[in-house]
Amino acid sequence: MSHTGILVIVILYLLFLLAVGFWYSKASSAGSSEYFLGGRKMGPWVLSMSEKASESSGFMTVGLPGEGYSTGMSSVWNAVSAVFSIFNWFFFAKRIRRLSEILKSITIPDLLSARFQDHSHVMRMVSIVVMTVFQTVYVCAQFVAFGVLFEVVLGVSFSVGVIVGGIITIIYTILGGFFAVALTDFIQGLLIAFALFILPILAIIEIGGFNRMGTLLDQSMGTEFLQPFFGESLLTLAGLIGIISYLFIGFGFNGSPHILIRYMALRNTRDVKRIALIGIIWMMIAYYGASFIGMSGAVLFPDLGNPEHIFPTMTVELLPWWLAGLVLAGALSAMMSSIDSMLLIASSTIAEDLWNKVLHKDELDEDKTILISRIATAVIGVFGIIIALNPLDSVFWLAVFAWAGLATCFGPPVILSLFWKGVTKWGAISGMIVGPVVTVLWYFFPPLDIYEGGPAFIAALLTIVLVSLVTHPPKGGDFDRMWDEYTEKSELGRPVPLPSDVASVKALKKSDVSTKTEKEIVTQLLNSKIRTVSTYVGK
Amino acid sequence: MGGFPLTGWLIMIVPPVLMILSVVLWYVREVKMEKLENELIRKNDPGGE
Repeated sequence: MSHTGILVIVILYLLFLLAVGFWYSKASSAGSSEYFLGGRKMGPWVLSMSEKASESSGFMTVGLPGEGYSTGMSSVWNAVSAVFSIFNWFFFAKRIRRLSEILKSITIPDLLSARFQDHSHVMRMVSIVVMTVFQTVYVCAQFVAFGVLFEVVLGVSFSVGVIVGGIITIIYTILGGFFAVALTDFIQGLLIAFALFILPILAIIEIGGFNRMGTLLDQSMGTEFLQPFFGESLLTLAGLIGIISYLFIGFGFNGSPHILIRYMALRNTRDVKRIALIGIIWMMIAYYGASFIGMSGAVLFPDLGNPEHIFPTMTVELLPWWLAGLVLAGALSAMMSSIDSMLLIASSTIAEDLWNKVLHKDELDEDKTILISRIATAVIGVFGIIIALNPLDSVFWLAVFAWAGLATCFGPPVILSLFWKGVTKWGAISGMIVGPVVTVLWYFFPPLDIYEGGPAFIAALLTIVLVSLVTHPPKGGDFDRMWDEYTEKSELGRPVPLPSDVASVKALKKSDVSTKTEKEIVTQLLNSKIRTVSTYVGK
Repeated sequence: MGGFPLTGWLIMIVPPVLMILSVVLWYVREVKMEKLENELIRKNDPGGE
């Protein structure tokens, strides 16, 4: 009964996702800004869960518990890397939203091309190549995780898991676009948090308490397992390198286009604070939960052949079948949310940046752009499935490798272009090439056993700065006006509110804003239908 | 300490407390600033249109 019951729940959940895709296929047919950015009317809860769900992926449910199982307390450094997500909220999110509204951009390559006045399309071409390559790897990592879960929990073959899960994800991404992705991510974000919260608690109860878990791990694995120094009892150079490696994974938050685009989809810049609060609480629950799943699993199931089997094994062994079905649905959700976001970003880049902007000089109608995007989604997805049937590496390292390639291409130019007017087009393009190239070289020929994303990110930043110092920044009246508008400060010393911010305040009607509580203001904003800038309005 | 060394406890407690606290403080500051901004917007646009 247990396997059949779990299978029924998972199938029901996947059917539900398909229904959401069908439902929102109407909404997304309203235009490409609707399809790619959800019409910029996502609320903070939806966007925050969506951001976290798409960040987490199979990394969180299969990869990180596996790391916890094999490295113990050291895996918690992954949670510390959340500090890079805080940098996003504090320093980058509002600026990205602001710049994208001023430049009327709907994809990251679009934003970069407009910011650097790249009419040669070199930047778009680099973006397209990097996105297609690394997002296919990332999608592939999620499909591998799919296969692992199906294999361990449902007893079906790895290949069936990869193919079935992959096809369903591709279909509902094609149908619904960003709105469906963000909405299902919201549900998935909650399910993942539930799964990562409840499973370690049940495991620790099964063991006989938290302190008993520590005592048993101390006896079976040694004190080093409970020290956060990668198998050492004190901080050594090797331990420090391990810590830096894990922290460097956090750079991915600052550069991954599927995360950055969520800031472009904000209704207005004021939603960032709510997203940050929801996000940091979610991250702490999820990251610590995933690590503790691994550590408690090392007590309960010490003889697993593959550490990455710990999450599905614990799910099946510790939970009643109906709850296991729900938790598995949560885990599958994590992967699907990453796959759908990645597919959408990659396909939107091909449709909007390559097909529309480069090949058709921005004259293609919206229906065709969306059609091309849907075809690209299907092609990349099927390609990912085929590669995933013969995986090259573990889910954890495949995911963070792709994460590094994407983050080092887009993170450095986006971040620098938010703060420094003097960044040049060639500086940005050089960095966009150097980052992914260093990532690949470091992955295959590491001069030091440290995560490739860190050195590649730093190399890209330095390259952009150095090349920018010897080349000419964008110039002309249009660029200066754009930069003035972007950097204009109000009497409070903060950026002048954008039209979308002003609209949100005006949406409060003629009520006295100063007497309203934050909750009342946010409730009113959530209930109001504010349409902010849409690239295609009036076309 | 139940088998967990001091450094283990530290990494379990300190990072989440610091990170959540920093976001909460920033949130409060943002709310305050937005209230001032609302007043500024209303002052510059008294008709509300």
